[in-house]
Formats: sequence, structure tokens, C-alpha cells
Amino acid sequence: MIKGKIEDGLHPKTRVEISGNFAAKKFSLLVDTGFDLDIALHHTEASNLGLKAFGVVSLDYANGEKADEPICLARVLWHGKWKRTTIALSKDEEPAIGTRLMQDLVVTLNFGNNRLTIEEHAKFKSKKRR
Amino acid sequence: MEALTTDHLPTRQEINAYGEAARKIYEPLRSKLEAKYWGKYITIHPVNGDYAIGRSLEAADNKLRKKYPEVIFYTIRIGYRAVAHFGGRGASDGKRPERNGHD
Repeated sequence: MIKGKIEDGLHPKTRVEISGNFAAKKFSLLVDTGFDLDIALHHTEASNLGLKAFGVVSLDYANGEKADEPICLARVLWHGKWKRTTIALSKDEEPAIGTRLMQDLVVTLNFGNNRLTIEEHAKFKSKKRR
Repeated sequence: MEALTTDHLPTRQEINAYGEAARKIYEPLRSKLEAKYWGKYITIHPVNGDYAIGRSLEAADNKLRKKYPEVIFYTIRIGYRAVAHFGGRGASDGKRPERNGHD
């Protein structure tokens, strides 16, 4: 189980380690249910980790702006195992986890005690979506 | 324009030029692809126009990567404004064509 907290009673965040070609670093990631890829990182952080782009895609930002941005592969420590994950580079300095990384998991946001949990569930483990 | 390679992060100028080149390749194909592959992903080699279609971003990329292992590609989600969205803006570009039994 991955745990996190809802900061200021508003912003669900969890700490996740991301490893690139040069370095690994733990990030406090916003759990963003409006973002539909795996992880978004700012260009500077991606460069510091030594991430290399394998593609370019268009991102639709929340303010309505659309921009072409690189996508990279990185390893993310996720439920105790290193998982190859697609990282979208973003203009936003706040790193985020998107809903695609949550597929097949049970995410609980408890605004009563400001706790966040991301759990694997046997019922959903067999599904492969990519 | 030369193909970008996966050994570095491209500059903003390179990214924008890549997107423009890929969209020029995609536009003449758009109506045909939207009729048949709505919601799927097309990965484009922006320099030579080669492309592959897949059920996910990674699936489309992997198909083309077998031919060009070190090239950065451009990927579009067919029928959608963008590949990924912030703020729950998962809007498509327009009205989905009538289903024709291909998907």
C-alpha cells in the first residue's frame, strides 16, 4: 500500500521515488485525477534525473493551452517494485501522478482524516491495459 | 529537418518544429483515420512520414521503434485534442464518425 496525505485538507500528495539515467530522487507528487497520463514532471527535474525523450506529444493544459511536450521513460518505485513508466514533461512546476498510473488500483481520499491510500486489489490484478 | 534522436532532451525549438512536421503528415490522413481508428494512437516519424497505429501510446511507439530504434517520434490520439490532458479536459476534436465495424 502506498500512503500519502491531503495537504491543507485540499491537495492529495504522496512521495514517490523516480529514477533516471543520472540520478534518482523522491518527489512529492500531487494525485491529480484530472490528468490522464502516468506522471508529469517539470523539464528541469527531468533534465536533473537524466531522462531521455522517446517521443513528443501534445498536452492539453488545465488553462486551455495546448503545447507539444517530450515524453520520457523512467523507473518509478511503485508498490515496492521498480516499474517502467512514461513521464510527460510539463511547464507546471508541481509534479503530478495521473489516472493512468492508478488503473487497476484502489485509491482512497479520506478528507476526514486527510489520509490518502493507493492499494492493489486482487480483484483487479489480472487486467492488462497497455 | 533531421530526425531527433533519443540520446537527449530536445529543445523547445526542436519540439515545436517536430510537432508542426508531424501534423502536416497527419492532416491529409485525418478523416480516413478518424473513421477507422477513433481513440487509438498514431505514432509518426516526422521526417520521412512513416507511421504506426496502436491501442496505446506505447503500443504505437513500439511498432514504429522496431524500424527506427533511436528516433524520437510524434504521437497523436486520433480524434482527440491532445494525447494527455490536465484538469479533466479529455475532449475530442469533434464528433465521432459513425461506427463502421472496424473497431
